[in-house]
Amino acid sequence: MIGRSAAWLTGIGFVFALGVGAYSSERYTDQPFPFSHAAHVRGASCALCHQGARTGPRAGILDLVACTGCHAVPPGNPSGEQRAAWQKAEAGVALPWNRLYRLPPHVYFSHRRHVVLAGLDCSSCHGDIAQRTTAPIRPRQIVKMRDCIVCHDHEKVTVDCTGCHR
Amino acid sequence: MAVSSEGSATAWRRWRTLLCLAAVVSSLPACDLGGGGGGGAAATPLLPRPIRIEVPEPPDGVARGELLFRDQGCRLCHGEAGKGGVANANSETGGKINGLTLVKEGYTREELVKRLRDGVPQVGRKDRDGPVPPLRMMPYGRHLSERQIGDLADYVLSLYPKDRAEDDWDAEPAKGTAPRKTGARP
Repeated sequence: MIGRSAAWLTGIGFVFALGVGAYSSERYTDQPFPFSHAAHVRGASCALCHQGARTGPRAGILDLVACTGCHAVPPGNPSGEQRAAWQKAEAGVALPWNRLYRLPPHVYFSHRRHVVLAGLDCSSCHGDIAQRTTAPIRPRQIVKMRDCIVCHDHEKVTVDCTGCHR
Repeated sequence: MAVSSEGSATAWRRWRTLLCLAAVVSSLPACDLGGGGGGGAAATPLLPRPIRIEVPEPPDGVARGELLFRDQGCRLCHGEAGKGGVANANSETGGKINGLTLVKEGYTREELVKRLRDGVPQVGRKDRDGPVPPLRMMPYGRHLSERQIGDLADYVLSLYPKDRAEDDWDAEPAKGTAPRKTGARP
């Protein structure tokens, strides 16, 4: 009887642990300030802030010092902490936006090659992020290797392993 | 008694099967097989074909400047083709960001290049006791090369209306016409 109870408890605990794991896997990336992609792409290219998209492997993003170039006040209804961060940025202290996309270390991907040489629009991989009015906390699309292969096949680009894998 | 024991064993097997199924199902979202950085975030499927964008090679400075004007966010504040009118509360230019079409009347090319390079870190307030105007102009010298800034200046100067001759400042206005107003400085 005790053995059966222990088995029950173990089973319930196992399911609970998996549930917690699944819940925490729905992770999000908090951003320091509100941001609307839609408001910015109305009159600027993505490369204004993601300058590496045309020049190197990583698109990157400018830090908040760049935001203070055009915005004299922090957006939204800033908290005291956000006001302080904005003031620091105005003084030139870099405060980064948080990164959404991370590639596995064995994958090599060049934004420049895809954007400048292949001429792909950002939405090809990043979906409708340009229409979003809130700061992105998750990627709008997750690109899997099979997506790369499908596109490379379609475009008759190499699918040789060493083309993308270190 | 034996029947009861056999029944409870069957029930336990059923429960065990259910528990295993629940465990497998609940663990599925945790398996992020992709590049990481956002389990469960795929809101839209990938497009079957890539979307192409044109990357033109502008032939001259004005055309390159126009491309930069669109690229660098100038039209976000100064409007399409520099028509102006975007709200900037309590700014000295009437609470709106000025247009650029008449810049040629107030700036030489060198002055404009300097303005673009250094930006406008502080926009004057219409009401000195009022709030800071929320928008200002970034120093493009941080992002653009001297040639790019020159191209941008050429484009802005090219926005001057063709029907307004540049050299008629000293000319007497024709009878019955009002003196021309000067453009606001950016």
